[in-house]
Amino acid sequence: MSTVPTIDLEGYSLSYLAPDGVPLLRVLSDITLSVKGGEFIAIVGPSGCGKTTLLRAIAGLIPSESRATQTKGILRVFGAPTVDAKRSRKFALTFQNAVLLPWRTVRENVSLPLEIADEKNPQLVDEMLAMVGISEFAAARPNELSGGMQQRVNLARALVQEPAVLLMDEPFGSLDEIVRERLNFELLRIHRLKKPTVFFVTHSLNEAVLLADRVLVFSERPGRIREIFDVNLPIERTDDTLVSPAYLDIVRRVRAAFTKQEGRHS
Amino acid sequence: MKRFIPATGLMIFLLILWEVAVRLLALPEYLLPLPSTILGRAIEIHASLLVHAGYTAIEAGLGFVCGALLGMGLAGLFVRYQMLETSVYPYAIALKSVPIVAIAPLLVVWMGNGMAPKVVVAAIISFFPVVVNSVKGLRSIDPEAYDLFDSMSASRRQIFLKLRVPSALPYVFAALRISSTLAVIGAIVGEFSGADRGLGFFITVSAHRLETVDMFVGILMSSLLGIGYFYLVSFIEHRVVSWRREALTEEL
Repeated sequence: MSTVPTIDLEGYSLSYLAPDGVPLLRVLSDITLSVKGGEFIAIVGPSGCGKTTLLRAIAGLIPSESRATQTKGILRVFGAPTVDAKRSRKFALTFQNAVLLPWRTVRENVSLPLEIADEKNPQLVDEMLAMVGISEFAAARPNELSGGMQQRVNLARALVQEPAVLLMDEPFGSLDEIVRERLNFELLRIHRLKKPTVFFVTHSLNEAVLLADRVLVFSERPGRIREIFDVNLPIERTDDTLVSPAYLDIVRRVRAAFTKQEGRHS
Repeated sequence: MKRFIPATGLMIFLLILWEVAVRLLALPEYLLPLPSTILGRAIEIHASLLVHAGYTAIEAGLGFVCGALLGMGLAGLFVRYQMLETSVYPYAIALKSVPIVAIAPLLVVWMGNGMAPKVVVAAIISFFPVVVNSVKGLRSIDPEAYDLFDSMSASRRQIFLKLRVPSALPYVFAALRISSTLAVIGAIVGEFSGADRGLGFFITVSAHRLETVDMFVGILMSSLLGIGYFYLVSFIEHRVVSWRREALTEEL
């Protein structure tokens, strides 16, 4: 069983098609990657390089055969097509915006995935609210919360699904540095506790290195994996990690890979 | 309450201006009666006036409810079945361009002098804003919220009930507010075409007798009825769409 990778991509490419079926825009090109269960993968790359598209493809939100898209190569999750994993509710997805439903309270937002799955588990909802530290806001409406709090709700809603794969698209991108850092450590703590496989798209190289086991640097569109960095930092990461030479060294190498390709095009 | 002060002040100012102007120009009463005369007359005949207003209120209310329910139901079907929308929607819009004043007499011929034709006119006139806005509202969902539901493998029915309908409510209520006043107009137009009671009847009879004061009284009652319905709907809206209140006041 354990030999089957959680996420497996082999020569995966994706293009958007014009209405007449002609390939219009190549978004992802020849992606090959194998992700083990429980691994934390961070993806960095220039804007519009297809990071989000890759995430959506893995989540099964982009049908492999449709009139609007064309894919090549292999994309399998738990050895099966993504749609199967979506149907068996293995994924949880978070967006850059918290995407909370304004007519629901915090608690009702967090329990939405359980409702959709026709399940009831108030204890689990309570547990997740506590885990992300928003128990006392359970009865509040999303628009009464700050951006950081909204992202905590977003995270709790994802975690309540007890996902095998957590797909996060720049979840903390709109937050200020301090809040972002705190949420990073929270996310790390939760990851160590629950061990989901995480795909984390971000613009922040520091954030990527702090969180991930592996950092993928994407090229400009059509997005391909330019370089992969193994982050060999201790599992336990703290404030001290952020100033440790090993951490700073990896950040510098990732930045070099990132700016090298940026420079080529400017 | 504070926000009502400027409007109320303006009204009082205009009424005084009206009163003074009519007195200074010595206009005859059959052309433009004094506001004080109109108010006095309204109080004098308030018993029969309220009966007329009551009939119109029932016709408008029934028509409004029927038209609104029909509009929301049809919008739901349009969003669910694309085919239905492309085939029926154009005709629904075409029907909108037929003047309601022209349809009303025909409905009276078909249904007689009773309440039925007025209810139908009120329903037709309240239907359009509701169907147009409901379709728009049901379609107005946040694409990311749709992705969220999709990633949870939500069924079509769940997406409709838990995402589309709540997202549409602010749009629907905006239409209901407009329709509530239109329904009163519809009922009165229906009464113009043949009735033996109601505010429309009262206004028509007063016009034939050249009783301008009574016409003004009828007009006053009609607008009060429209305003009443408008605020009733706004009140319900605040209850139902309470989560949107903050957002709305921010826009204002």
